[in-house]
Amino acid sequence: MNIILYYIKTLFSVNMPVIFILVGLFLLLRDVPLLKKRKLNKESTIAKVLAYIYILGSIALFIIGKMI
Amino acid sequence: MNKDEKLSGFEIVTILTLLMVGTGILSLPRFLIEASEVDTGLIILSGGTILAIVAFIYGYIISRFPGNGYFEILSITLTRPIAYVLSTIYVIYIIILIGLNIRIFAETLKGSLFPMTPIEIIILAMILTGGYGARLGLETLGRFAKLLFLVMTPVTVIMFSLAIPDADFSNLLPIFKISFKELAFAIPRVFYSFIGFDAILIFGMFLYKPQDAKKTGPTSVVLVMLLYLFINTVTLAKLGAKQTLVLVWPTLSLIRSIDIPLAFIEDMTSIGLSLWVFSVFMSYLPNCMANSVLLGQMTGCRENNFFSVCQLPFIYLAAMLPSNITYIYVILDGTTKYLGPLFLFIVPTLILIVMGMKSLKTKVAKSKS
Repeated sequence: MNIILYYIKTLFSVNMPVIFILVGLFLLLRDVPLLKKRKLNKESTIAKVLAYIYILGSIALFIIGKMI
Repeated sequence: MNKDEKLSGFEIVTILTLLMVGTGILSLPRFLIEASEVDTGLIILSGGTILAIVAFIYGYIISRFPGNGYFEILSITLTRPIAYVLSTIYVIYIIILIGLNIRIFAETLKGSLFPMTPIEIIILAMILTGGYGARLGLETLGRFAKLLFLVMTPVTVIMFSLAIPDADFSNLLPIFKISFKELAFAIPRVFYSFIGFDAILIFGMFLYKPQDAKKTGPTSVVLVMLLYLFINTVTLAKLGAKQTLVLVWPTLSLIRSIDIPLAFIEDMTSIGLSLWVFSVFMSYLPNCMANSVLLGQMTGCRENNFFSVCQLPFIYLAAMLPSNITYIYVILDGTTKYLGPLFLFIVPTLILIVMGMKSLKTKVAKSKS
């Protein structure tokens, strides 16, 4: 557990959450509309869920990293 | 990427060849010398021959399941839950490999070309370019690989040939002194440099003629084996066994040592590194695409381009995980030692056994009726 917390602290400093958020935003703003336009509903739902997980998950891990 | 995209046999050969010649080429002579001080060429030949046979078996599996992807083949033969578990492990394994290879690439570039640039920038530049490339589809990859292969192969051979005049081939002596036990222990060390040809199991479904898979895999392995044999021989002849052993990346040192006084380009380092950048990029791009295709098959998605972007943060995470070069190789050794044999030998063997049992069952049922 301590090793996992150590890695969260060292890796989720600034760069990592920024990359996760950027990828999440790219998925939300570019891929989801594109997939919806092509009527690929299943794909657009998966992309949307992944985007939210990336954005919220990275923010949560960043906060956890700061709290440790 | 979708199922309608098709690749020719030659395109698959070029993709697999460039996929294998990635970062492994830099450290291969050292790995071999660490394993055995003599007959390193024999180790490459033996390892390459074994892997060519394995590639033929992969081709046989693909030809028996025309139009089916790796996940579907696993589902048919080893049941759906096992297919999900194995595919998930495979995706993680490939992400770790890509990440560590990009880290080695970044460390090398930082050491030789961009000493002041933060390593994160080099890694991000590579990851984002690859992420963009992976969205363009397999046919684009096929054409790009064909173009690079036809340009890079002659230039690489000519570049390394320039080291031959200064080389001392007595450095290769003695020959045929390696014991069978030593050879058996040394062969697995070569496998890391050939990792990647298992991607044929994923790209095989896109072949125009699935029967070609039996030829394409072994051809690419043999091509890489010949290239490795040539580069290893020249490196050892030029640097000698003792010097090769202490160098982190002997092949890079060999390129640096090539000097042609009064020639148009005296120093070959820039050309060598440029070729190597393409080589690393081409070992990253198909792997990224293969992961997207596999994730698409696992989730039942018709369109899987967006998965190539989803992987990028995890590739960056894997690249940033090791604290230094030694630690990179520790993780790489650990990953290839345990997961490499699982996907190279164990899973295909299991598929073959199930295929054999199923055909036997059909024969028995036919004979009874």
